[in-house]
Amino acid sequence: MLTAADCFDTIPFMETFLTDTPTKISSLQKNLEKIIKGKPQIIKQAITALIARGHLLIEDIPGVGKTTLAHGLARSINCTFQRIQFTSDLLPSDIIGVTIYNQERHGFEFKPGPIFANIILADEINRTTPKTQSSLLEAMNDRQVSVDKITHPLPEPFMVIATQNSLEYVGTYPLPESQLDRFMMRIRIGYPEAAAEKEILLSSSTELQPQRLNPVLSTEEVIYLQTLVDKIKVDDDLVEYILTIADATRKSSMLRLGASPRGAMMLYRAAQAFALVEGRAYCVPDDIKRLSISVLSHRVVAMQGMEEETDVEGIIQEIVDGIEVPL
Amino acid sequence: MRFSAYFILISYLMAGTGLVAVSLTNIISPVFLIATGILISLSFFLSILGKPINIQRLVWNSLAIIILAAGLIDYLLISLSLIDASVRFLTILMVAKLFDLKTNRDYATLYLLTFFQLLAASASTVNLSFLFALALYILTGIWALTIFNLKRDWEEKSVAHNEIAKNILDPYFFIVTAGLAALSLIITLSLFFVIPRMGVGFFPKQTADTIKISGFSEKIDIGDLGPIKLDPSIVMRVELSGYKTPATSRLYFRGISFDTYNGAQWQQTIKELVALHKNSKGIWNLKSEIQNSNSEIIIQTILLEPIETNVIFAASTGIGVSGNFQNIAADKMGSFYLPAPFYSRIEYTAYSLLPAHPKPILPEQSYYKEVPLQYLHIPSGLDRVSVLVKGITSGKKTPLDKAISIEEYLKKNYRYTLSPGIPDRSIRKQEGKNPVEDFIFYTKAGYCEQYATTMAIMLRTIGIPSRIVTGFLPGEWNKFGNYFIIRNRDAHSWVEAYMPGAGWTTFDPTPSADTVGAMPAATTAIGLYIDTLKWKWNRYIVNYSFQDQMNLAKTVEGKGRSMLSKLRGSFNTKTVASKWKDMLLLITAVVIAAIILITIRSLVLRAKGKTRWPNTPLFYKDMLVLLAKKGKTKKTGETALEFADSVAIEGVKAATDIYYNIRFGGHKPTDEEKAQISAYLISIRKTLP
Repeated sequence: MLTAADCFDTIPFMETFLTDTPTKISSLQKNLEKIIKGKPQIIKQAITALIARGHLLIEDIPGVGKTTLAHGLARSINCTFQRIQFTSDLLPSDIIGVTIYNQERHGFEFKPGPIFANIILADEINRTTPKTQSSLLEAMNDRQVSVDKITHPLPEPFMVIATQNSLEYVGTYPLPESQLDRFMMRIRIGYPEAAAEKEILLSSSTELQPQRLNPVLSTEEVIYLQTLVDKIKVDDDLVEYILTIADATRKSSMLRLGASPRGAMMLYRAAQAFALVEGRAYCVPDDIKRLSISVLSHRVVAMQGMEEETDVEGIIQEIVDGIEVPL
Repeated sequence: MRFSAYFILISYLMAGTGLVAVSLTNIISPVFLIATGILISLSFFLSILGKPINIQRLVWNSLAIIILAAGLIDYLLISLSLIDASVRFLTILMVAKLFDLKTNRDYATLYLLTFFQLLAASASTVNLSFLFALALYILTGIWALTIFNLKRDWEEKSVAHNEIAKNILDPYFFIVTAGLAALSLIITLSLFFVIPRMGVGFFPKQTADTIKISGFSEKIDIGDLGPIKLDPSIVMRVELSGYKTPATSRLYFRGISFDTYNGAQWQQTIKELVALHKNSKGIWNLKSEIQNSNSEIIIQTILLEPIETNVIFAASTGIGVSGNFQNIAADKMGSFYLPAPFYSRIEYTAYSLLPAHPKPILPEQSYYKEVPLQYLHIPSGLDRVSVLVKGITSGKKTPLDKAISIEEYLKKNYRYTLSPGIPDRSIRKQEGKNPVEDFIFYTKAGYCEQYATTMAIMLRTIGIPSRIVTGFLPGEWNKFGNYFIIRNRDAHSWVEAYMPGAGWTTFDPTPSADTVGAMPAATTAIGLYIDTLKWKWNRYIVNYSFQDQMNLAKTVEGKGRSMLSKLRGSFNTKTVASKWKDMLLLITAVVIAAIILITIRSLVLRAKGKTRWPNTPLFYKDMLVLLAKKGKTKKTGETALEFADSVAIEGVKAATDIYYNIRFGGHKPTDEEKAQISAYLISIRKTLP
């Protein structure tokens, strides 16, 4: 097992990287493709979020495999996994953990909650109260939790995959923009293609269960991949491209709120990770362009009358299409 | 024009400039020059057509050894001159290199060779044209280096460069480079005037220039007559200090005089030379002449071409000479001599008395004893002449009046011709017993030597001491430079007669001599102007002396430029340390080089800046242009990969991958990839309608 420190400084980056990394990432991809049929791009984006140290928000109607994707990703890595079903009566302590009195030891003791895992599946995150939501989101941002003035670091890697049903309004607490900003990407899975759907139909009941997946990556390997992302070369013109896109969202007459600097930062990092997923040691304009909707659309707010989420994605697409791609 | 064509063109321009510089030295013969020129043109056309000769490395190496051996043989056995041999060696090497221009290193070698050519040329020419060659070299050099830089920069990122070079080769480029060349020249020239020097050049020429002079000779033989051809080549240029217009009274630039006539030839019997003493002002004085001088002194700065004589010229009665000479001698007849004939252009200052105007006075008894008897000697057989002279001078009492009447008589009654002694003697019924009689009584036409001889003899027959002088008339006045241009055709002979009370006085019986000065300008204004440039070049560059620098310093000081004069103060002794000079030269060279490099760099950057996406490999741009021509245009918002997918042509996708790798991955294309790209481009060109 190679560590980042072993690789850099001694061997040229490209060579190390090209021998090892693509096979690891593609094995992860192949593993996920066993249970998510006909959605290779979605899988790529999920992996991108993982190795970019980002959190993922999957938003779609029920039954398209949101949970399966999250679960599958967790299963593919030899790591701890927790699933939290968000309900309106869920309390922050149910996520973070509680401090209880240990009679044997005559002292208070912290009992870690389900958030102390490598991958958290926060199912239907919009069903719980803002108070509970924010406790999760704080943990996502800081990668640590503080209980009774004691800070408990979360394990590495740490990734939250949240799902929410965009069509349900009754009894939901939609995440505010400030909270949404914490997610690196918001993706939609969408309906499968006809051929893929047929395959899903014809497969046996256990075949698509995430439980049957075997881990293909260790946590160390995930951390290694995450360090590799930082080394991905981004040309100056591409940085300009990112900034131009972010700026264009702020200036667009169709958007009430444009992308934040964090949005640009996330796009930069996501593009680096996506390049690595694609097996490249450098970014190309396509990485940025392709990710711009996933990374930016949940961070912007459309003008009144265009509230529909799909509209926002359309607007971002339109903006990006109008920006000159570095040649 | 394609970029590569520009590159080749400018590289050859530089090579051509090197050849021009070398050709100015006269070291390489015209045949050699023409052959070189033809070879250069041949290789130029081969290169520009993209069909270079492929010389095997082995062949090339053995060729280089042969050239080196030839150069060594040239130096050791033939020319014995390092400069000459290296000029030829460099030229041959350059031509050979032109046929072997493949890599960037070959081009760099070529530039280096041309630089050495220029260096060698600078050491062995004093020609004004060298200045132009230098300017041209700086200009083409900057062009070549800029383009070379661009080429190298682009090649690092791209594989083929078919892009049009219009982005860099615009008027701005040419203006900036021309300005830079001018600036470098100005710096170089100003440096030239400031840095003190002791000698004239680093490599004084050793071989003699064999310039054939038909104008001035140290022998006068009027028995041997033949047509004379007017030779317009310039003998000397004379600047009269303080004069902005031609001197009012006619000046005669005196060379040497002859005292004895044997019936056919003039000879010098008074040959004794006296070494002159240099006075405190650095002037070699002719003492005897200075004593009885009340006349105005005229100072002439003379630039004298080598004419295979050790005589140096001075106007009228020369009384002193100064210049960078070891010593100067003079004879008893007032002529100046260098110790040996000189073979390079020399500059000196002559001090002369303006001609005196003698009064018509009767001679005292002592008059006839004042001068040696040779001045009265006449050969036998001139009785007829003697009778004639008595007739001419009858009624005149003083020697001056007599001399004037003889001068007038000759001017009035005889015709000036350059082809005397009419060849077809059958036409002539009679001929004289001797050349003088023949001229006086029969041909009645001749040129200056015959007029002068005749008058001198005539004067002697009536007891007036006389001698004949050869030298030059002032020639043409150059109003642009305020100096006289004296050519071979201005060579002249005249008479000096010893006048009571005044001494030797000039008489000129030749009729055309009066009109020479009034002749319509022989040279056009442009010609005069160019000659002025040459004069200044020679005067201020080639013969620029330590004295001149002192003068410059004084002028500067006089104008209150204390700063500079202080600076000069540290240089104005003869103990100027050469390391100072070297330091200054080095610093200036570094400054000029830095300026040039910075400009080249900024031109390159500018050319890149003007290109949208300058870092994009050119082959990809070429591919886009190619596809656009076939109706497949990439939208600006479209990524290269999206475009490649939408075009769906074989090769485009693969080429795009390579492009991404080079452009964003910083990858250097391998030869294999270059070949692949070429293949893709060709296949794209073919597949599309």
